[in-house]
Amino acid sequence: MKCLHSNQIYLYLEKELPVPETTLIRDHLKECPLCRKAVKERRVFIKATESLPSLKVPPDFSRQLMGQIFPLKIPVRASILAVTACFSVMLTALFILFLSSGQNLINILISLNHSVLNFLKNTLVLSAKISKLAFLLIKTISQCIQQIFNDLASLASILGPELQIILIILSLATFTIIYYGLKKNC
Amino acid sequence: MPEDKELVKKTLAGKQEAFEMIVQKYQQPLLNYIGRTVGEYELALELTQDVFIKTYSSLHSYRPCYKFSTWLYKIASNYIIDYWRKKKIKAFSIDQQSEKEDSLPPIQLPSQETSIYEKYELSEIRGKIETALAKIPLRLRELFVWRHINELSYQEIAEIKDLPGGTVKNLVFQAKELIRKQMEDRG
Repeated sequence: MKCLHSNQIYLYLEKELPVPETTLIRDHLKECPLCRKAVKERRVFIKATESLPSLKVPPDFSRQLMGQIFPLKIPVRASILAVTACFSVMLTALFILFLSSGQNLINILISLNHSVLNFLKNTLVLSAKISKLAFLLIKTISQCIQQIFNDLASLASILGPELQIILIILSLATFTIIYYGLKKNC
Repeated sequence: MPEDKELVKKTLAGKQEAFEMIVQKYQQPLLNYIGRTVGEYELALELTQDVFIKTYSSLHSYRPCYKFSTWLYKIASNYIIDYWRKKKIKAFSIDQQSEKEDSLPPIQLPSQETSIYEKYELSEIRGKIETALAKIPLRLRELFVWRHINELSYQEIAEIKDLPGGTVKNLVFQAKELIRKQMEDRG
């Protein structure tokens, strides 16, 4: 038998060769010190490879990763409770401050009532103004859309049907190219 | 621990804990694979996280007829190749073989001199393997890591890379011989 090829050595070490070939190799190894050394070296090499230490995973790796995949969501009920608690604490602190400064409780309640009423009045006025602005904005947008449709209709009456089809195809193609280009860049 | 397919099903049904179990099961083998392939620990951690995020976002496309680990390693392998491509570093496709690499290097019969395997302790040999591993082409490196560090079978590697089993075996042997050659050249 000829000296072993590296492939044969690896297959022999991994016990992947048929029995007759394995027997032939064993016999050859008894006679050939060079092949015996080659097998020994590869055996040590594989042993060293398979005992390479694992890389250390940080203890908080999975927690950090889960935080990235599922960002923290605070339940609505918990948010309402937190806001209510803050408001109560602030109110209690204000009462204590006023009482400790020697003011009458009735006066405090009256001034608080005034403040709440004023706040509600201002909020209502502000809401009315915002609604009016929104209405104006919608009116302007609808007028703009109407104008665009009118312009398109007059353009369509000037251009022939073939030219209209070409223009539609070109616009769709441009839109698709831009869309996929942006998507690819992202 | 429940089976991977079961965990995937639960994750898709909205159970976050199921995906966390997948992460805990595969973080170590995936970090070993990515770390040994890219050669930088911090970068490997970052890429491992990215691979898990990509896996989560593609979970709906997973078909239970495939082994989950094979599918995960396939995502990881493509992600690393894309990463190097973006970094403009040449990362060969597994199918691209230069003429030079078509055949295995011929066996180098050992000389009568003392080899590095006799000269050094096993721990020192390990260190030399780590250094030599970084010097071989990426496409061979990842096959070597899967086979000898992740302990995947040739069949599993063949499925990940869509290659015949025989080709995978030859490439792994080629990787080992290249690593050995690097080690011997450097003494």
